[in-house]
Amino acid sequence: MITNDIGNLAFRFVGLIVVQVLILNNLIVFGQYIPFIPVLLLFWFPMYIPKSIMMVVAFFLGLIIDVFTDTVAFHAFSLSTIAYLRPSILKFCFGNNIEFQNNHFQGTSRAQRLSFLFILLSLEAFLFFVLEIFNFSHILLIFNKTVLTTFLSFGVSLIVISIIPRNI
Amino acid sequence: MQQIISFFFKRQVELLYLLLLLISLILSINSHSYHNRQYLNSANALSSGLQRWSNEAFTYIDLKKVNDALNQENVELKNELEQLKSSIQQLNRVALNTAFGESQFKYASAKIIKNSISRYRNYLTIDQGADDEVTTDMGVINENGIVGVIDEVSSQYATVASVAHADVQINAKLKNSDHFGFLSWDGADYTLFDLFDVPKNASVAIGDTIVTGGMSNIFPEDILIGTVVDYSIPNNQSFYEIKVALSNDLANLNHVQLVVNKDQNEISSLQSKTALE
Repeated sequence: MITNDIGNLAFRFVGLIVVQVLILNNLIVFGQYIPFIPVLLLFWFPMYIPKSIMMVVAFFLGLIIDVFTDTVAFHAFSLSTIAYLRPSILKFCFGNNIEFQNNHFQGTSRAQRLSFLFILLSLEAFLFFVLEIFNFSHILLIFNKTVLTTFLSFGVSLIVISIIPRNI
Repeated sequence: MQQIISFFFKRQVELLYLLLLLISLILSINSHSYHNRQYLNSANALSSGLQRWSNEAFTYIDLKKVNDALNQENVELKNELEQLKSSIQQLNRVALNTAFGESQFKYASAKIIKNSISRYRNYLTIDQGADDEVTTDMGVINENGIVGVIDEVSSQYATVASVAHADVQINAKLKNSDHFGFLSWDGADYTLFDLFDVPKNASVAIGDTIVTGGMSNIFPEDILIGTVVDYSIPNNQSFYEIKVALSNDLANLNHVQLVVNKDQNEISSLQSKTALE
């Protein structure tokens, strides 16, 4: 069971990098918005794997994508921060009992799962653009890019989630 | 001692997060001065190799467009050649004894293997590097105008800070009056740029052509930048704020020319000496 989960996770880790780098980075909407979906790994990450391992995996996932997109360590920063905050986000979306479950999606509603995904994507976009632009006089630009990138990533994530078989 | 060990043990997740945060912040903050991106850029061998492979697949689809652009450029170059031939003939006729020296600027071609336009600081990667005598701060242009400035160089590849990079500023002037200013990008729309520091006594009109100024060591004078689409003079200011539509389509780049200024080192060292005095 655990070996199977780790195999799935490794497959998704590589798959998300390939899809992001080779396909989504070329999909530029309105000339400036790119969907960003590697945060899906934190959506799927099993509950029983220690938080510290999740943070390190998220950091390296971000760093590998940063190398391909010339974004230095912006994705590494945002993904490791989301990994650190994930338990609180899980509690916010699914309630306090979530920490006693092995499968965080068991017995949850579709609305809860979608809101969890939406929060992960919007937080990723916000942290990424804050660090990339690094200038609070451009707060409107940060807000504008965060909102549009989140909705775009949300649409693409729903497609990816519906395509990917549950046991992979 | 035991308390310290127990503190680290209890707080291991927080400490690990702080460590990861520190690493990413140091790397990111260093990158904001745009010459400091030493290792984590797409000029490294692994990432360039993969990008090149993916780019070749996409380039194949664009071959027809590239052919048309090359044909157009060929026609323009032939026209220019004919004009030069006739100028030389005229000069010969008046029998000037002037010796023409070697030109200050030379051009080398390169192919773009990666391009970005959606970031606040956009970069391109080209398939020429230090082995092909590419160095930092060389200008990059194509037949439609300016593209950017060489940033980092590895042995076979180089990254280019695009003109759509929030930290890049380019010396520019109005073609019809020679009043100059500097061109920069605000990070929003990659087709629209700002031209600052043009004095208010200059005559500006919508549709005026903006070209590179002669005060930069990077680009030769009179390379096309774009056209004026809007302008204003803010209250109590002596300078225009001009919106310029870039002539180049940064989303559709394939082949570029690198500008080699053979006097760049000499000019830079002279300028730095003067600045020290």
